[in-house]
Amino acid sequence: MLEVQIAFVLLGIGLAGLCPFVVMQLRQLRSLESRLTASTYVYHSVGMATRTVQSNQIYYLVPWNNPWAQKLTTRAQLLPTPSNTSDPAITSQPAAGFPHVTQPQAVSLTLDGNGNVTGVTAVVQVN
Amino acid sequence: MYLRSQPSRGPTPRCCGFTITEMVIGTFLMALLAVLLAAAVATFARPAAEVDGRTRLALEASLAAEALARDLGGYLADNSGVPGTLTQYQFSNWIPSSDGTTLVLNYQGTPPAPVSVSVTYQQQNYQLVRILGNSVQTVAVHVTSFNASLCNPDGSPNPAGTCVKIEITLTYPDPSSPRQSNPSFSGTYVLIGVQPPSLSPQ
Repeated sequence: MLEVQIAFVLLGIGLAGLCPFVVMQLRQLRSLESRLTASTYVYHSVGMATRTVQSNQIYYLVPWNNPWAQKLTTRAQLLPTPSNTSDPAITSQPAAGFPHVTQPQAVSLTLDGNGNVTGVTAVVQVN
Repeated sequence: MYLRSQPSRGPTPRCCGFTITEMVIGTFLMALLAVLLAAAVATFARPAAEVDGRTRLALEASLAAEALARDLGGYLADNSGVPGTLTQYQFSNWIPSSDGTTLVLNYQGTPPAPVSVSVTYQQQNYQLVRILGNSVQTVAVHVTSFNASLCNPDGSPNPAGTCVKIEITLTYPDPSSPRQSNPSFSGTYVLIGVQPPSLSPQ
């Protein structure tokens, strides 16, 4: 009987030790889900009824207005709105004979805490 | 003088074991511990399993969104790392299939490369794959549904719309997984691709 009780106590201590890991992973999950939230979640949990959570969240993949920003980053912006008001609208075609541009090093992106791109640094060489 | 030992008059020896009262008390304590243990499992273990499943969904959704964002940015990445000119690998159009299971993105090529380069997204065996030429890349796993259709900027369906609506449903564990017990989680992510701004010639 005593051995069983000791085993239960040890198991309880082990479960209590699981708590910090759950809290840590839950914080990471919140950070991940704050960046990209599903429109609909469906949970089938143990011993619980199926839960459906509707957020109706839609994300837009918006290319940069500047064609060279498109060309050099080749990545659209992931936004909750159809446009980025802080992105300057440069939509004119470069003149004929525009010099050829090469990129001696990789483009670096500056990310905020949520992983969104807030700045682009590109080093280019004009022939 | 001789001392004669007296016969022992202590308590009579009892046989080993426990009484029925002790057994009832022990059983009650074990039942109490089991209840406490079940409560602890419900408090810690179940959220741990939920967090695990939801984290996997969020990670795979992020990977799928990143791949689509890269291909919908207006240009196709050049493997050589040389950007070239503004006409090379410029985005041309997107063509979702009639049933929505395939999304083809077309880009303008530059000689000697093919005139047109196509990237195809579709679901294969609970995976979202990106096909470029003979290269098939797995973008995300646990994908149970992929649907692409033309729409208006607000997301309303429109066969002649200027945007493309991409709906990706992720499920963990997916039906191909050997782990089919509860808990399971599903998330439907909606992405709307906006066309690059048209360049007006000077």
